[in-house]
Amino acid sequence: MFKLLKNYGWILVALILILSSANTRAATDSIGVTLPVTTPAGGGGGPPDDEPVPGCTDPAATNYNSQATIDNGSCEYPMTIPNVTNFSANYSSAQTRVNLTWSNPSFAEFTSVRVVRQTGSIPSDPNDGLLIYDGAGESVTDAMVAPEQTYFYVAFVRAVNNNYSSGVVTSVSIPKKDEEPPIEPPTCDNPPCDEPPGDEPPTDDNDNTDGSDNPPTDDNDNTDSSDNPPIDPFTFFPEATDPDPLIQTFDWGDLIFFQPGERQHFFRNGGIVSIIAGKDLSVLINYERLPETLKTIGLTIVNPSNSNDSRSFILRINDDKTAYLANLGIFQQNGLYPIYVYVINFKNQTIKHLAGKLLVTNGESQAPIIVFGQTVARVSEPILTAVGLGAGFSQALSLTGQINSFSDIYFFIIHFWTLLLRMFGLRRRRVPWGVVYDSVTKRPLDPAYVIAKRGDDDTATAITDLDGRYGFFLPAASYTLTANKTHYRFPSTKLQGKSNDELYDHLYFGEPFATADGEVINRNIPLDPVAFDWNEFAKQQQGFFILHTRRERRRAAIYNTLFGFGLVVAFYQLLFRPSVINLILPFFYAAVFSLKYVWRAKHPITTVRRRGTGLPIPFAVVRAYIPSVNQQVKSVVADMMGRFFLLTPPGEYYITVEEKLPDESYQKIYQSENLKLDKGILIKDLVI
Amino acid sequence: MKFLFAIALAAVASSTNYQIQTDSLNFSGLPAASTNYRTDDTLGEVGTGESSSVTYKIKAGYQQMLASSISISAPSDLTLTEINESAGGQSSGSVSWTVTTDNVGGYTLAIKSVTNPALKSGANSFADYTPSGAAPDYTWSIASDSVAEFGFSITGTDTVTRYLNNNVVCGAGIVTSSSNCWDGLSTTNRTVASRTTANTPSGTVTTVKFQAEIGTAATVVTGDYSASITATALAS
Repeated sequence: MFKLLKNYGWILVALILILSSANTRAATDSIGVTLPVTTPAGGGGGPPDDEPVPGCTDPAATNYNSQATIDNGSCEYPMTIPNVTNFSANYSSAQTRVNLTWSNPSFAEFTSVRVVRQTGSIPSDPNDGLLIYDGAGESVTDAMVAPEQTYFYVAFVRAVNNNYSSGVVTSVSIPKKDEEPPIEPPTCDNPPCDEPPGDEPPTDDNDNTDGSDNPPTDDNDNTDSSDNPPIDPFTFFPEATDPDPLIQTFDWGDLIFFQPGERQHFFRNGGIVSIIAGKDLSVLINYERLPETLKTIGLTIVNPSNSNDSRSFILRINDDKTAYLANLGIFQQNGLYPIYVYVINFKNQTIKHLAGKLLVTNGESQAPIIVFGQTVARVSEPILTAVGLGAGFSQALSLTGQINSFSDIYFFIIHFWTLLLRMFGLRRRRVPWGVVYDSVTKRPLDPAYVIAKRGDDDTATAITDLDGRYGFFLPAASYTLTANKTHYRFPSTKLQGKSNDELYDHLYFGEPFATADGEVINRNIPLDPVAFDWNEFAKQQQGFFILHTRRERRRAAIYNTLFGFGLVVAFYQLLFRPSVINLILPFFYAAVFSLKYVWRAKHPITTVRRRGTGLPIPFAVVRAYIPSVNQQVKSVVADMMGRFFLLTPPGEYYITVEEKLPDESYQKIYQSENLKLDKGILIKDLVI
Repeated sequence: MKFLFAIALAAVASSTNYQIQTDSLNFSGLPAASTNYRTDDTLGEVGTGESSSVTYKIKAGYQQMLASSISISAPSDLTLTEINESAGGQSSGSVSWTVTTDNVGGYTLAIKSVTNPALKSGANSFADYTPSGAAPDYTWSIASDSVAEFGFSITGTDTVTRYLNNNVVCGAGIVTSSSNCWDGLSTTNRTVASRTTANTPSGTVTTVKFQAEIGTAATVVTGDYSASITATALAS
């Protein structure tokens, strides 16, 4: 080309040389991404670019602001008629009756309590089911009960305006009797029933009593089942699936809890709703959030300090059909109350079941303390014991072992337990197989060829699996084993004379041994590496050890977390439950905690790993050089986890790292600045 | 390629540092430009133009060779499913761009948002997703339960290393997954895909998965939040 230009340069020639980069072309496209953010009540709705209008966005509230685009918690809700409290039904087997008791609310407009009963379903309003009681009393006896029936009672409080409270539910299951109980009208305690049951439908919709006059014979005469713990009446109904989108999407966010003078509270996914103790609590669900075909919405709250003590309520539609409402009463005791919501259809199937927590406090600021305190109270004892014991064991074991992390405590506990069992002759072998492994890295070796010989004859052979495992079950005799693997030497000279190392025991070095009938040959066989093993390196390349690293990290994280938590609990117990044992246990933790750092300071384990990923560089060669003469004084090879221990005479050195390549060659990838190793030990990790 | 060079009576040349992709021996030709237009012409060539059969396509002439083309598809706007402000939660959706170029040097695809932060509704906004480190987060995780964030992940055969993963971390490996390697948008272009060869005629699809999350304890004003995303494919 240039020759041509030179020769014919006077001719009109234009050479256009445009590099490809000078000819760049571009194409663009733009899209819009839109995300609607809504409120559970469907409130808001203003133009998105408008400034938010704070106010009450709940249509069920008395001060609903249709212009509001952001709920500021100002919603006010109608006063709900308080329910009775302590409503319970207890079957007296001696009297074959159900004794119902409750406490009337302290409510200025209170007139009476109406108790109705159903069998097989829950009364949905004051006129649904058999009337059991209507009056101002606080107890009634229901004698019209039959064996093997479950009765649902709902108590409604009537106000002076003849409106009723939402209703409190209880249930009782009558045990099986040899004979049917008599049918008697309910008897009222003082004051007497205001309305006799005869004014109401004579029987339940599903009453199966047959009217037998024969009194039942009670297997537990003179006993009263009043001690029976109350059950959650809503759990009686089988669960079913309803494809209705309203049901599918119904969740805790649809429940609004409100108290006089307080912001309404919403459940959040996975969270806890917090309410104030000592204030009347009501709950509301917007009418549009559930289909009209359902029959009952039930809610049960369990006493956090006594799981057998619970309150169950039904949520009823209010008069203007804007919401399902229930008055849950006043919670005096602070705590974290388990709460359950059930949506039941007309087939008496539970088509939605939610479980959450209701936090009762004297104020918001106490919430974390109560949650923490209650959690600690529930789990501290067993955890403290377990972790404390673990710390104690660890301390004892650390005197004879090597602890580099808290996760190592696990291995020592296992080892210690095994030693105890063996000491008392309760356990001879840990596992029914032996392991062929690398005496340096402790990594199981596969495939290794293991031969069991009886004299000079090969009696049996085995190939180890991926975990280096093998096993022989041979007749009682004297045998010798040999293990063969390329690039490894048997027997090991590195561990010669040892009966166990950090991970394996019952080590084998080629000596003859005798077996008894029924004994499995499962000695652990260390092999010394004599050359680079491509198979092992390939496994590393395929991530086997990366996985191992991650597992080790996870394990270390778990044990460190457990240790930290146990330490906190130990000090919590010391502060709030002082005792001798609670005074001693923190010292165990302190001892183990100190041991970790003392041991590390004296036995530093350094690693060579990659910056960013943190992954180790296995089998890297680490060399130390004297800078002035570039003379190598020490070289070590990192293990599969990139760990190494570099010990040199005290002085100044620079460090190089060579990485093992797939073709078995090494490539230098790092050279440090000059380092002063005053103690002759490299204690900083090499991050490359 | 050799056939085309023969027609133009030209050849390519290269050294250690440079490569002349195409040259032409003729009597005139200049690049020219005004405010609105630009032209590259070459005078004196014969037999120029585009010819094609079922199997082959010929672009004869110097400028034909230089005039590489690049195009990008125009996917529809994306509407994410709504998030309930009080309950919080996640919402995600994907947009796929197909970039087609006959440029022998390939292309790069970058995306950016018009606004900062990207997802806004008037004065209210979602924070752009911020990875915990320099590389994208392998798994989606917002800073805390009290924030709302908006980010994206990339899948496609031309995905750049930043959005590849090795099933552990991003920025390494060969795996692309719409559920991994989450990054945040910015108003400057962020390269998400690239290749060094032409990909005509089928082009290459790169899918951007957008995801928004409102933390369970976050307070977010209701409304329609929107982001305008620009994708730029550049022949390289």
